[in-house]
Amino acid sequence: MDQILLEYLSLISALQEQWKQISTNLGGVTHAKYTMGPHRLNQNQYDGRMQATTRVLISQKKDTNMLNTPNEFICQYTLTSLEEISDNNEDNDSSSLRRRGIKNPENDSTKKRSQGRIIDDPLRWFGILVPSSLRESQRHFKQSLSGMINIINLRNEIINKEAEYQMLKKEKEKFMEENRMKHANSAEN
Amino acid sequence: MNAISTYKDRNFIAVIGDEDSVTGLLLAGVGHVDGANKNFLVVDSKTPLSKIEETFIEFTKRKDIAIILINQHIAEYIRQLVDDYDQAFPTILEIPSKDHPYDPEKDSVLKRVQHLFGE
Repeated sequence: MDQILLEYLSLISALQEQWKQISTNLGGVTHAKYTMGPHRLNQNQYDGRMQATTRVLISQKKDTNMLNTPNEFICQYTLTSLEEISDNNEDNDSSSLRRRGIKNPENDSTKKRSQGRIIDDPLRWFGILVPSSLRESQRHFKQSLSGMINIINLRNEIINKEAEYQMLKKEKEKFMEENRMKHANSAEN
Repeated sequence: MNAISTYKDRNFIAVIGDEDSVTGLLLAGVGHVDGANKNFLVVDSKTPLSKIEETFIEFTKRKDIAIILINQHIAEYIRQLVDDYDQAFPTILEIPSKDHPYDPEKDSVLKRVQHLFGE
């Protein structure tokens, strides 16, 4: 039980550390707004055709604890890019196309992707030349996003560890109660 | 198979926040518009409470959203809705903003720690 508590506290500590890092990264847009002026950096500049280039993959990893806690699997979130997801989808499509003996139009999609990369950068919504504070702010928010995903994963592990601890605690209490009754019985005899 | 299908197609990160938070996260590439459907909501002083509630509920019902990020101070406006939310997906994370820093007192995970050690 002590081991589990130590692991639990270590997860909590990692969580708090992650929050501290995220909190330091959030002020950049306000500063960029001050530099550029609020009329150049606001929601009216958002591209109405935007497509998410940063996405998430959810997977399940087997919990390594030896007890049969209710959640055998823990959900794991991973940041990914649109390219990685469409590569995976294309691999699935192209393998099925090859099986049917049809030519795979790979070249076209690769060309479109490399052209799309330039257009896809949201920095472009705010002008061709943007101040370094906005670029910096983009970098910070990307780091923060990665931190947020870590926090979600840590949170899932914490909840699981808590369940493990509660189960062990109940078993310990049951064992101690059984022991108490045994001693009480033998004392009577 | 059913369990896998509930999360396999969930790839988007939705955001409900003030303009600076939403702009920052959109700069990080999470924004997605598909016709009339967006995965973000900018909340300002003129945004009606009903709009925030409606958007939150809409995001929780969508099958393509994995995570909803919401500024902690905005989550306070719809606290009952957020606290009553009990689905596995999408997962909700309350995030700080520049004007409302992270408050460990309001962190639901840390409250569980207090509860655990309080026992």
